[in-house]
Amino acid sequence: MKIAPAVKKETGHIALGTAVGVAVMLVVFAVLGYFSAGVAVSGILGGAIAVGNFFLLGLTVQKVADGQPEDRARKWMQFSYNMRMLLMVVWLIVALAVPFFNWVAALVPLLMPRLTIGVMQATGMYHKEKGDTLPLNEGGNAKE
Amino acid sequence: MLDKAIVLAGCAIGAGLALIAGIGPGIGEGYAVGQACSAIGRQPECKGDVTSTMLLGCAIAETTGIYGFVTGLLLIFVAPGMFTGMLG
Repeated sequence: MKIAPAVKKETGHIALGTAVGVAVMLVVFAVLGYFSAGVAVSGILGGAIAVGNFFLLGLTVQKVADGQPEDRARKWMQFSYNMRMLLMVVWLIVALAVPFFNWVAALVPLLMPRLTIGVMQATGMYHKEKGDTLPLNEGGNAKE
Repeated sequence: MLDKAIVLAGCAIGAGLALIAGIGPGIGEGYAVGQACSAIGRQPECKGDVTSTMLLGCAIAETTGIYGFVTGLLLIFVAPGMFTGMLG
């Protein structure tokens, strides 16, 4: 399956934002004197899982936007959501159960994509340009 | 003994309630995707824009579910030890 440019672009933004966020988090850990190999590994793995989760979401969105019937698209999206949540829960349980990992450093990167989107919206990176869609007629369909 | 039992019960009930937060995003995302399919059907030229908007919208919606899961897991794994430790 060819990856859509929109998915690549947004995943790139999220990956960049998450990488910066994880770096800041590790610096904060170091300043507070809690830095260790476990913290670094937890942060990096947590960031990778957050970006991977977003990428899988992108692939799902691409698949359902590819002309699937509405009912089937809805079911596929809900199935994908459940699977991705399961992945997150497994990672969090591993981070909480294995003493090597630091659960705070494992948890914080999972929230970075939301923070990145907030920053993108606040800085105007994600403002739709006017006039890039066709006007609609009274029935809600695109005018020719 | 009874104090610890009450704390553990509270944590278990709280975790259960927190996990309810996972239901909302699933329903919401399904609804959003259904509407996006309709939009793409009406205006196929906007597929890229709709995909982009839906992707970010779904990511935002999912964060609510993650908050719920995190709260639930912390109540199961971290809070009991912390609170029962306080009781001595």
